Amino acid sequence: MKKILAIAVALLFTYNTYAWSRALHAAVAAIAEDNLTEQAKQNITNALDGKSMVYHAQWLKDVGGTPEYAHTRAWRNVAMTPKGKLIVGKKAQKHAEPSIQKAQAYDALIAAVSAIESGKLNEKELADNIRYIITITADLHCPTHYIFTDMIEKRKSYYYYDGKKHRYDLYWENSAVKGTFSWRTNEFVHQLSRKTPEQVAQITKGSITSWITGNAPLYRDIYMMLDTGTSFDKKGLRNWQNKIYPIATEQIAVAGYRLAAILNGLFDSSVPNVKTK
Amino acid sequence: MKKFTSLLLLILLCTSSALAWDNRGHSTVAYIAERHLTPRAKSNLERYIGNRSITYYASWMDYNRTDPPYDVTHDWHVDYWTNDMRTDAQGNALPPVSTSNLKRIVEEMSDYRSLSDSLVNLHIKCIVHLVGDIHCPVHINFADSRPMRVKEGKKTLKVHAMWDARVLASKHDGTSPMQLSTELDTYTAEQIAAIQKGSIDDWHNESVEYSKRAIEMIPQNQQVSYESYFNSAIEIAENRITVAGYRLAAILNSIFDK
Repeated sequence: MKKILAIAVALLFTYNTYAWSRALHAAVAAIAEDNLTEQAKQNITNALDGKSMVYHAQWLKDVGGTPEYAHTRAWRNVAMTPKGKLIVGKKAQKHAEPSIQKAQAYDALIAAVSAIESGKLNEKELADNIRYIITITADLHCPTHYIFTDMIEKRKSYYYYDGKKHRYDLYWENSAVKGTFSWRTNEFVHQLSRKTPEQVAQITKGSITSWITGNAPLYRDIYMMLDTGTSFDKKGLRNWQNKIYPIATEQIAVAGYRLAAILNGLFDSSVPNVKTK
Repeated sequence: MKKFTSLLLLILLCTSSALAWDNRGHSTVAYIAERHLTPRAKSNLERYIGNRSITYYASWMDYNRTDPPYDVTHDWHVDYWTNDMRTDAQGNALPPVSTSNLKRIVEEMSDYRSLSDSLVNLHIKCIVHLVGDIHCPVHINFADSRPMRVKEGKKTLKVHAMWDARVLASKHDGTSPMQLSTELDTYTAEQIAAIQKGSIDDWHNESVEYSKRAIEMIPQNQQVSYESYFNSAIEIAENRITVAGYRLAAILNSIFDK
């Protein structure tokens, strides 16, 4: 009985952790697709049954409710110490904090990249692992998917506007961009897929691990951008949003370029692989 | 006392809410303009806005009008008309606010290379937005139209609020700005050249006439629906947005294609 209750609580918690909305996952995938080499794009499209990466942008979240992929529900978040050290593997699974036990997105991403690098996957496994990478890379550029052990409570931050209570994590999912721009996928690409080669080199420099640990200081600051319980009027909300949307749009762009770098390395023999560590 | 009265009148006029087109409308104006920029103008101006598209900043003035560094621009969005004309302390009529600010900025930008990069950046954001605003019918703010209300379903809307977003959304709610700009940008080169002729003052005067038409059509205190108003108003909205896009391109080309 205790076990069933524990599973029920865990499921509830997992369903309450979101990342970018469907539109923003599509935006990351579309920016990545815009920056794939021809060879990589062809190989990936073939592996994905002829469909665009954008079509599969949120696939991992969509299948998380099915028994076959139930284990992937823990692949949404990463956990870190106050000093920015990743808590991974068994350390995470055995952690006293339930949300950290489920913060296995890093392990899943590294495993998916390694599995494709091995070249030993069948068609279904290959498609699944590409789709894991597409969704998780986007998630790992959403600030509220980072759990800092000294800031657990910050993840439950909320604010009031127009007499209603709003969760900060859901704000990042739904409104960080939508509250400012009426963009669809093609607009995200037009607006954000325009970095210079030098900027792209800077964004994609390092390893997957260094990208994630490198995101941490900014994402800690983002948690601090809201004093929980703040009540905004229209002017206050607008001025607060003005600080957030440039960060949100930049993170979407960065995620797109890094996703392209991972996939170009895996599916274009002329491009070096992005190191995992 | 006269000074105080003038100041009070000015403050009262300044406090009315005014956003004009929503982000969809302003972005559509900017997308249309972007497609008609010369390569040289586009390249020159994007250097000042961090290699972004001008459409990124289409609503920037709306979003920053209460932010302290930029709150001086708070009242630049609307032109008042006839019995609402602003006056100075001596009772002399002041020029329309958004139009006069747009003219001043465009004039300053004629020698943009002599300005600081940050000022050019700010001026680009203002031009992109104000050209849209001066073509929005409710941004010619008539005293008679201000108390007008319409009903849509259970909601009672101010005319301004209706024009901000509802008119355009009544037909194009599911259309993205980029798609809408493609649908509207269908004029011939000759038509575009004719639209781009004239001065900013001429464009303002033309907007006054369009605004009168838009206001006259309003079924006051009655239910508005697509049939009763939006289907007629949308023609004006689409025209104003398209024309604004072509004229924005003309201004930016004249500044940056040199």
